Amino acid sequence: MLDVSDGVVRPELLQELDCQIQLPTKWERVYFEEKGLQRASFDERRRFLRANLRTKGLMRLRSVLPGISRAPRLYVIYTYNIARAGIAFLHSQQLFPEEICELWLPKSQLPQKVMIVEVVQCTYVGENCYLIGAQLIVNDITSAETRNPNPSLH
Amino acid sequence: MRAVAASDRLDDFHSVSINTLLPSRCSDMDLFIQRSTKERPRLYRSHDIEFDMDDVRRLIAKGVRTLYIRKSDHQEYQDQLRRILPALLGNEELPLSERYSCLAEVVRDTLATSFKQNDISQAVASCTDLAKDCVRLLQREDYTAKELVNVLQHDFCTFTHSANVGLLSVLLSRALGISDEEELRQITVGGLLHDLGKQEVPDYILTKPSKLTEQEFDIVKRHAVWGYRKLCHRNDISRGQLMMVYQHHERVAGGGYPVGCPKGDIHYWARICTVVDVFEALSANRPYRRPLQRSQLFETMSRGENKLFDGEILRCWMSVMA
Ligand SMILES: [Fe+2]
Ligand SMILES: [Fe+2]
Repeated sequence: MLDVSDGVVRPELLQELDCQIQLPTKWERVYFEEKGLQRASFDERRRFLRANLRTKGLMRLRSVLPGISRAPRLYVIYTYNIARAGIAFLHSQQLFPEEICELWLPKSQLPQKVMIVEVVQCTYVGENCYLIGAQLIVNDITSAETRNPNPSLH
Repeated sequence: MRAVAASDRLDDFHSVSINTLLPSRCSDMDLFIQRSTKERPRLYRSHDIEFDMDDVRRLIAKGVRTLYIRKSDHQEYQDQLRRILPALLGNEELPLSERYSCLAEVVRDTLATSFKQNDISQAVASCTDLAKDCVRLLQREDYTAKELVNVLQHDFCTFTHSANVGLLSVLLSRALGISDEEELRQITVGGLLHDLGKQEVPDYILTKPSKLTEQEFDIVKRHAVWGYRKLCHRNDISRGQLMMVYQHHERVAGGGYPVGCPKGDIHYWARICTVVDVFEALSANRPYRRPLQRSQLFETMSRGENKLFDGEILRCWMSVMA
C-alpha cells in the first residue's frame, strides 16, 4: 500500500514512483528554478496573480465522467504555478475538462495537505507533457474527507 | 386551421422540403409556395386537398424544392414526419435519392428544433433515435457515397452542417471497415452533435459574412469545449462520441484546438469527424464565396494530409468520393 500519512506526501514516495513527464528542452535545466510571481499577459491583467510553484507532487484521478474511466493509481506530477483559486501542473497524459484530481504536495510547499481540483483546461506542451489548469474545489484534508469518505491511497 | 391572413409574413412560415410532404403526410396543413424571394408565401394547396407524388414531380420539374407551412403547424409536421419516417425510408417505390433527401431533411429539422430549445437530453435522444434510421439506410450497397453527397443540401447553417457531418461520418466509417451497427450509430450521433457547442457562439459571429477578427475566432474556438461540457456527465454518451465533440478541431501533427495534442492522443472517431467536417464546410455555400469544385476541394484537403488530417482516413474518403 502506498502510504500518504496524514494526507501529506512522504518525500521518499516521490522518489519511489516512476515519473513519465518529459520536460521540453527549453525547461529541462530551469524548470525547478523558477520562483516568484508570474508576469500576467495583457488579457490576463484583471485576474488573480499567479506564483510559480515548481515542485513534484502526487496526483490521483477520480472517475467522475461516465465516458472516461480512470484507474485509481498515483502519478507523479510537477506543479507549475498557483493562484488564489487554482493550480497548474504538468502531467504526462492529457486530462479532460471537469475531471477531478486529488493532489498531494510535499509538506514544505503549502499549508494544505491535499487539494481536490477540477480540470479546467489542458494544453499540449510536448511529448509526454501536458499543462493542466485546474480550479480548487477543496483545499484541506478535513473538508476533503467530507466529499470523499475514503481518501487513503492504495 | 385558419384562413390565410393578409398579414402573414415570411416569419410566420417554416420552409419544408417537398420530399418530406409525400402523400397524405400533412393532411391537416395548408401548404404555401413562394413565387419570388420578394413575395410572401401564397397558398398553394389547402389542407383538404390531397398532395401527391404527381404534385411532387411537377414541382421538381419547375425547380421548386421547398414549400412552406405555418409556424403554428410545425410541431405537428415534425411529429408526423418522425412517425412515418421508417416507413418512408423503407418504401422501395421511392427513389433512394428522395429517401436520402427526406432523411437529411428530418435530421436537419430535428437538430434545429432541439438545438434551439437548448434541451440537451432531447437533442441526444432525437439524435440517437435518428441514428438508427441513418445507419439502416446508409448500410445499403446499392448507392454510392457520391449520390448521397449530391442530394444533401449544402447551405451555411449549423444544423445542415451537423446533419451532413453525421450522415457523412457513417459513409466514411463504413469505407474504413467499421461494420458494427452499434458503433456506426454512435459515430452518427457523435457527428450530429459535434458542433453542439456552437449554440453558445453568438449568431452575429456564426453568420458574419466577412473574415472573423481574432477575438471572434477565439470565441468560435471555444465551441469544442462548450459542446464537450454539455455532454461529459451523461451516461448515454461514450468516450468516442465525446471525443468527436471535443477533438474534431485537433490536428494530427499537433497545433489544433483546444489542446493541440498529436495524432496518438486524438481519438480515431474524432479523426474521422475532422475529415468529413472540413469536407462538408468546404462544400457549403458561404455568403462570401461559392462552394469549391470537387477537384479544388480535394486539392485543398490534400495539403492537410498528415498535418491536419490522418493520411489514411483522408485517402479513404477521397477514394470513396472519386
Ligand atoms: Fe466545429
Ligand atoms: Fe463542424
